[in-house]
Amino acid sequence: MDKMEPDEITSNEAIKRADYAREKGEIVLRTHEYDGIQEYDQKLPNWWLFTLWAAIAAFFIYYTLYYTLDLLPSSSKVMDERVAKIEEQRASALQQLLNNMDDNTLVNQWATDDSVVAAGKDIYSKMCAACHGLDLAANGGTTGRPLNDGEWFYGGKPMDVFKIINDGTPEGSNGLNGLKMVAWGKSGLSAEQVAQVTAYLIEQNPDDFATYKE
Amino acid sequence: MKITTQIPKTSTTDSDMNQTTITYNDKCVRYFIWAAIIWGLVGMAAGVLASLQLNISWQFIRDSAALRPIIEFFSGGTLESEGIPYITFGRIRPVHTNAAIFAFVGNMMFAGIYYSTQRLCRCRVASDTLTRLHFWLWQLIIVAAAVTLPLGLTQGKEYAELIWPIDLLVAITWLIFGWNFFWTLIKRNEQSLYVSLWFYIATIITITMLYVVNNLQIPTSLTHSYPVFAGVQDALVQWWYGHNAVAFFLTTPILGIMYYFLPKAANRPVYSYRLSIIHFWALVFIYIWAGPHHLLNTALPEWLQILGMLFSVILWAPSWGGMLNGLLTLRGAWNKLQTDPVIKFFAAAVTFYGMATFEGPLLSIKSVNALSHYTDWTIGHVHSGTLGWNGFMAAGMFYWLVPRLWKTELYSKSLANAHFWIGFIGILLYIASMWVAGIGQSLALNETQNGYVVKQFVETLDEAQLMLVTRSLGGTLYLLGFFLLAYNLFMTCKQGKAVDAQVEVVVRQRSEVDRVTVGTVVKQDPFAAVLGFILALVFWVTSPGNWFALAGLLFFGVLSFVRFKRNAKTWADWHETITANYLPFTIVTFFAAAIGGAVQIIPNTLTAKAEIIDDRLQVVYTPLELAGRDIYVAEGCYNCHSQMIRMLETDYVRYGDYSRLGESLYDHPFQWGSKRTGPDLAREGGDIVDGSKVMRQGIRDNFWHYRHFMNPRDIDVKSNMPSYSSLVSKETDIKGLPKKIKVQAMLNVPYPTMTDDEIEQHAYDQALEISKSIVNQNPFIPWASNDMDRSEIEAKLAEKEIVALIAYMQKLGAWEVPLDEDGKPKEPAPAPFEDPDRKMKKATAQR
Repeated sequence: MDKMEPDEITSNEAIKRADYAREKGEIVLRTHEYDGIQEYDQKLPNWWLFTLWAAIAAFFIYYTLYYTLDLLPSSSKVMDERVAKIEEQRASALQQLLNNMDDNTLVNQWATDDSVVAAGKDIYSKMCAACHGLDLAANGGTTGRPLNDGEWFYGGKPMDVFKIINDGTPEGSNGLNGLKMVAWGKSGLSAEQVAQVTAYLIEQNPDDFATYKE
Repeated sequence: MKITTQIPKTSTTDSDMNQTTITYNDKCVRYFIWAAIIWGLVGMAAGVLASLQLNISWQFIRDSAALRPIIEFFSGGTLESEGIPYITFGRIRPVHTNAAIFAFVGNMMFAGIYYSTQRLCRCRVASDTLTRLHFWLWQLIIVAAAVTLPLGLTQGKEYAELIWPIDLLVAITWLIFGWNFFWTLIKRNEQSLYVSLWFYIATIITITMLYVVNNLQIPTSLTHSYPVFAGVQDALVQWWYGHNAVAFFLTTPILGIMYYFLPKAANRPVYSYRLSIIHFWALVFIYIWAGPHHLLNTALPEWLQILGMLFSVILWAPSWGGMLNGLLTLRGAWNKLQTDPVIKFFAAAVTFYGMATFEGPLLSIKSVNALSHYTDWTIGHVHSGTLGWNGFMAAGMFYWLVPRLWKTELYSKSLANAHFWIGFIGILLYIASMWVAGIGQSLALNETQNGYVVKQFVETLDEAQLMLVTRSLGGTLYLLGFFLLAYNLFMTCKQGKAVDAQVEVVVRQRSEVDRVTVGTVVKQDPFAAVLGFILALVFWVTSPGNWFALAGLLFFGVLSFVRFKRNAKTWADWHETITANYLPFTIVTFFAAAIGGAVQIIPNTLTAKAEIIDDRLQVVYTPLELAGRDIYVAEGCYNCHSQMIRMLETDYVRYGDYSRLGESLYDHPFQWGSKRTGPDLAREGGDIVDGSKVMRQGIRDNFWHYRHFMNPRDIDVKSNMPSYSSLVSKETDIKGLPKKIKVQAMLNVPYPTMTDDEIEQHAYDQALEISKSIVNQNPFIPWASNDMDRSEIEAKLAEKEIVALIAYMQKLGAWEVPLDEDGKPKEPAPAPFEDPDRKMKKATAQR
């Protein structure tokens, strides 16, 4: 059985020996054993100390630059600038599109371009079919307005269709018994994508838009 | 290199000694080990089940007539089969996390602590009764959790889901454990405290502090309560707790266990005592500050985010200090790696610890976090810690302990080796697949074109599917490995015989141990110098513009450095002094651990108040919306959905305007979420419908939500959300609302004065309006029959949970700017404390 250990705190000789060992660059094995477990007292690895000091220095430098000296832009400022840029981008894309798009171009250019119609169909199947049905019949008119019955509740011009998709159910309208459509232009579809969906619907309902056909 | 041993001064005379034989209480260790193994299997199985549920939208399963009904059955069910609502993902995930953390690691930790503490103190545990009580109460808590969580009884805060009566039980049990532990320390026959005991002390006191503060709540019934903190306050407190539960429940006790069992198993001295000292204090002090890294780029005040980020980076070295001390202790014993499964498990565990603690700081950098947060990458990171570090440390410890506790050899070494390799491959598959899934999905979500997203959320799920299945496979392998462990250890126990170890010790008089007084500790050099530095640091991080603070910081920093360089021995002696007495040591540890949280939480709680906010302010929920919110919480929706649009371009483009601090200010508890298995919901709600007093419509109408809850794949076949068709049959707890609103009002949510009847009537009126709008569309309602007339169906549907939940969905994100009597934006009240961001904003405005 191991004997009672000496009191290390006051053990000057032990500490002296250890100091001597340290000075000589020798590894110190501490005298005290805990349930048979011994401990070396190796020096801390330099690269380890370096990472510790470097991280601490990084903290002081960053915090000083940011707050004490106010040299870095705040994230809310950065974000607001980004938001302004995105909104500008969106608005100019919409404007550009509207400049070059009217009832006639929608019917005669957009809806006749196979790749545009295919893109529109793809978006329709992902975003619109949930309510209006893959077959455009809107589950018999229960989940949304059918898009194949020749009726265009919010206006039958091609641009009206574009507008209802882009802006959603108009303000003041009760929608379909209170069901209101998402303003897709504000919820994930670009103006171009809205135009593609419009083109797909025109392509699917040629009779309704025949008057614009050139 | 030559090794020098410190030479003892003079040995104490034999006449002082009073030798006696004691028997350790090893029975409790045996109990805790088996509890850990059994609950570990349960917890891991719950994890595998939860992971499989996420494959519901995998095309392979979608198209398989045989597989889909099975998966749907286990994830809520479809309209055709009701399924099991008790194990939908939102409910089973808390079961998994709580079981893995508190049941598996908890019991394992107690086994290790009881075994090693008795030996390191050279005395039997102070009280067998308290030990027994501790064991059985802890198992009772686990059973109570396993019953309540599937029932949807939850607080809605991650890793703190347990409802208040169980919280109380946890607190009592933890105090019993702490009492028993410290009592054992007092009775010890060992002069000073070994490093394992330092880590145990830190664990016990810090967990007590974290658990109590994060669970401050006011009950509304026997099974429900609201936390006292709300919104951003609650977010900070929760992640202060959540992050440090990882630190002080999954890390420090296991490090203590490592410091005992690893040198024992390797039969080698610990590598470096001074490394132990440095990394212990660094961990205890720094870990606490890092909590806000769970809330980067959110509405949390920026100074807190920056502190969280930078302290996480500082944390890297201290964490690796633990890894180094573990791995380098194995120097000279590496040959055992080939022959001894215990060493294999320990070496791998410590390596995984190193990997996880490198990945952690990396993920805490704001720009990396922008990519990783809310994705599977975080899940992979957590599991490299839990499966790799905790699970393998547990396995190594069990394989070492069980043969000793049952006085026999391990039943099968080759089975243990098989366990190691199966588990190891399981972890690698798990982590690697989560990297690919997380980073891949994040990149797909971040893709934008002309200010619009390229891919819808559900579309990004497809690409992750194969990786999610690989993850399930990895988890299953890991579980299989643990079954091997259970079998192997069961056979070991069977062939052996339970024996309590006996040992001869020299009994110490009380006058011989713990002689150092608190005063001696406080008066000495390191304490005073470092205390000055820490106080200056606290002053400076809260007032970084104050040059006095910076000067004070520099002064004390240089002072501490110079004094340490000039006389390192006094500092070493000081540390020897405090490890010789548990009380001063415990007090110093408590302060070191408490500072980081106090610096962040107190200012944030003082400033995140409605009257101080000069920006958007949340619109208070109507009674029905509140009831709906409680359903949202009970179903664990926060496990998959965030309500926090971060200050990032990609979040803005996909989900809309970024979330402001005031928009969730009245949310008890906050529901910002931590993972987007589904999309963010912060802007899902909308304005009040024309002609209605309270009914709102957000992006989608009521009927869309109805159909979506009934079967999400009806809306989009690729959806991975469980069906919530059971909500159409369960009744909303309208009767409980008056009490709930009273408690909300008590917590300063500005509810108008209403009588109980008015509250119930208000809720019912709003519900009926929503119900009518749904019934209008002739929905499929499972219980509706042909002989019910329309108004009957409307009235009955209005009472159902699905309607309340829809009311809540339509309210999400509703805010207003508080106006004064003239209709102008209200002048905010002065803040009792100006945080660094406000100060800077003011300074900029003045310029």
